[in-house]
Amino acid sequence: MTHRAVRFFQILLRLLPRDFRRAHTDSMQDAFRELLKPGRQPRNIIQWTVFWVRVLHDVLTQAAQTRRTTRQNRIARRYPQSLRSTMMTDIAHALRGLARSPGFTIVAIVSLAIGIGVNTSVFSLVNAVQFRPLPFSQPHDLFHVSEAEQDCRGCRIGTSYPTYNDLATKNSVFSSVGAYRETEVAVTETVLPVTIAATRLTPSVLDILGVFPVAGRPMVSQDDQIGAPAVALVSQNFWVSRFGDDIDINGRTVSINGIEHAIIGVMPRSFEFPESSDLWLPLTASANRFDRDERNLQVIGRRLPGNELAVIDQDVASIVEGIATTDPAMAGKTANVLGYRDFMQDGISTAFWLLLGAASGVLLIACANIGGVLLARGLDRKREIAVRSALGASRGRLIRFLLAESLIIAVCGGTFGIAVAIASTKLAITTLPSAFPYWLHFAIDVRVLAFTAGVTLLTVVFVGLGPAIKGTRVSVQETLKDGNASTPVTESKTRAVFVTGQIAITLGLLMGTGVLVRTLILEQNADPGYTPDDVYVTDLALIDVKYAESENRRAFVTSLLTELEQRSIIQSSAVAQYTYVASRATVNLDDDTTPVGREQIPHVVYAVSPQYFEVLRLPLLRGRVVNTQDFRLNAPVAVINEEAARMMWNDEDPIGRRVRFDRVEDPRAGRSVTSGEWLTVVGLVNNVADGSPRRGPTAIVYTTALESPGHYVTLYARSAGPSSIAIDLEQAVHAVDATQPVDRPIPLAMDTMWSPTRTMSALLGGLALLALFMAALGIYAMMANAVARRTHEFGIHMALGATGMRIRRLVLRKLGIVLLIGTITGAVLSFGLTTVLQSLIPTVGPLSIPLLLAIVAIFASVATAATFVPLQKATAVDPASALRYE
Amino acid sequence: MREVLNQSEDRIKLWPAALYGALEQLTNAGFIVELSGSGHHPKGQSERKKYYRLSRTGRDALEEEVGRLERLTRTVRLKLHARPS
Repeated sequence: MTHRAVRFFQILLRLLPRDFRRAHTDSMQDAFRELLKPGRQPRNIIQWTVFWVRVLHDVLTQAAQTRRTTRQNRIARRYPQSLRSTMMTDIAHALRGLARSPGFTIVAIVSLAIGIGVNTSVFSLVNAVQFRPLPFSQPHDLFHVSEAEQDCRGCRIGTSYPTYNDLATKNSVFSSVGAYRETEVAVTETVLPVTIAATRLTPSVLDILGVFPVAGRPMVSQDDQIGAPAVALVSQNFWVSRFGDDIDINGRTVSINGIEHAIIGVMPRSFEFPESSDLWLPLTASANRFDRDERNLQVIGRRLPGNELAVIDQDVASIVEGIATTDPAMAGKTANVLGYRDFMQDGISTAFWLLLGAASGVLLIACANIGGVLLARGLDRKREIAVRSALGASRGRLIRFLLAESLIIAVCGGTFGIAVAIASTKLAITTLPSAFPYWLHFAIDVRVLAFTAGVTLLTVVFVGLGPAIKGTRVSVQETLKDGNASTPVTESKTRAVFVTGQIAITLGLLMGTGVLVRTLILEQNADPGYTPDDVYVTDLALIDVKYAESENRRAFVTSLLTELEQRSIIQSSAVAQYTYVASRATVNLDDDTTPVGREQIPHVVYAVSPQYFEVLRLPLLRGRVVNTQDFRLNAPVAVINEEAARMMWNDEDPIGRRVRFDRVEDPRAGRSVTSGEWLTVVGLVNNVADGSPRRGPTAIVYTTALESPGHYVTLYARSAGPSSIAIDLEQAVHAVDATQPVDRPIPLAMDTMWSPTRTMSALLGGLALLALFMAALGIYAMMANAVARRTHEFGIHMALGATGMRIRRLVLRKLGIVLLIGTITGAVLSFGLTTVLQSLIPTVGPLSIPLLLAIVAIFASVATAATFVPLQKATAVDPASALRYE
Repeated sequence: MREVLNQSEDRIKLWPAALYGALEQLTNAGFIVELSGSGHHPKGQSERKKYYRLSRTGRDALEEEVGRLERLTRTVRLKLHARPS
């Protein structure tokens, strides 16, 4: 009997979980035997039955209990106590809720992904400019020094070589000071000669930056002495493209401007200081060594420890002001110091912050949209919330529950947003590789990720908190009694506020874009004063040693023009050389030997070849243009434009009057003046617009050849047909001089293609369109919801005899109020935005009332279109079914 | 098992599954410790039997429980005596 009972017990034990059974089978069997010891054994059938029932009960209870404990332990191991109870259930709940309305979920996540993505990528720009360390050693100790005007300390005018020398030797705040100047050089070693961006620098500059060659030696102080052997540092790109991957500089040379330079070192990869240089040459003291007016240097210094910006500024200002008291050329000058990063980012960061503002506007609109929908959903769930609260859920618990939904949406949106940002940043870098200086890296780093996380959390607050607080403020009794037929006034007010905000932001962005686009249109439609179509242009740098003498440059230009004349595809061609008059010359008029005042000095002198006016189709107003005869004889004649005539002779007839430009030289402080020739004015031409309608026309004097051709001339050619002549121009240049570098000629009409106005209006315009689209969605949603909620009410109205017209008026009145408030706020916002834009891009005009009205009209029509469908619904209400509607 | 039955004069029956369930819970809670290895087995006893020892925590918990029960008993006893008979 006992034996059979034990066997049966063994079978029963299989009901227990395996782990427990394995651990205790033997012991449990022993204990079971104990119960069946003689004297304790059940004695009759009833006792046996009771015994087995109790055994079965024992095993089953224990099995259930063990299973429960195991499960709890597993959960306890996975989640900490506090989270387990609330968070997981809330999230599971929210997930189920979101899965029930996939349309809303997808739209919400996509719009947040766009909003957060746009913000992340714009922030990565701000981050690169503002926060990422410059690629130099201890960049915070680097400062940029420049001469400035005493009456305008912010007006930085560059530094001359002698002033740099004074700063370097007399200062007590820098451990080292260096100077550099960006330039272009002609490298004539490869098959096709090319112009390459180079920088001339003092050997101290690379020490100050803390960047050293990966191969070879850095520049040393002997390298920049007059008469030192010519040397060059090259970039890694430059080396690899010419000599391949192996770096062995031994005996390698490069021909720069016709002079063999020994390569002394190769700089690290991705070093293109200051912006995009491939070659670094010693800044040799040149003929300008004593000229304090030639302010073409950038000066950089590394501070001695402990010197603050104000101290440094004081020190350099006093040095320069000291020179100013003794040297008349420096009268009224001082110096100004900036942190090196502030100097490098100069204005870019303001533009980026502005874009970030626009991007956050887009995100706010997306948030308001989603918030609005969540609010409406909250109302639909009033009953559910009331039931939960009746069952004892606290207010905080309910808010947490509702917030879980927005948290999930925001986190998904944020994750996709990062993907959007990575993709768009990559796109920007690959499509605009040279638009950014080399030290900007738009990496998605920790700072960017933290920003995105912050934005996402803010989104949760914006999107979820309002609706959650509103949605949980329910009166349990009323809600359960009443159903959800009526809409509380506060709800529609909240939504109205959301939509008003959206309208204001969108309007502000549209207005900003509108101002930029109008500026662009004005710039493009402005009559340039000549006909740029079919004209191709390229710059020639005659900087090779063989062009050191002016006769050689003149011979080159003459044979180039002859060469071009022979090609039938080229209708006409000309070269021009451009000189700023500014402070480099004094001007005398009408045989008078006293120079005229500043307000009578024309801005620019162009030395042009005869066909110049023909190539550009620059209309002649009076007299004649310069001709071949003048050019050959180098005749002292000039053609001036209307503005120059106005400045010099006050609109009197200029033909036959005379003007003289005297060059101001500056050998060793004592200034001397080289008298020019008297030029007789023979013709008057149209003004030429230089692309900025606000600045007014430039006063220009055209002459045959003021001096012989300079080192930098511009070649213009008009095509005989619509086909491109870029290749022909290149071929003609190389036919004359096979080693002369030439940039691919571009159509003159495209010359002004890139402008900050264009870039900013494209970016801002994109954001504004996005905002307009989302705001239209928001208005649609608000109206649709308002109509749907008032269906019952409308039904009553109509049952009492109201017409469709009346209902429409009811609905439209609400939209009207929202639009009006939004428009007023938006107008205020856009005046602010326009002011910022004007400070960034000086050519931007003020906000005009017609433009404002036009944009409001566009916006109002989009808004009206968005309300069309809901309005149709409102008036199509059938009173009978509307009254049933709940 | 036998001890419990004897001490309670067969009034308390420990059902096997419940017994070992309880032992496992006490082990998990750290009140008792299973003695493992033959060295811990009293001489002459079967190897497959399991032996448990009361842990320090277990003793503390037990003392507290006894104290609680004593206080309870005292209170109840006082109430009984305070009752006017």
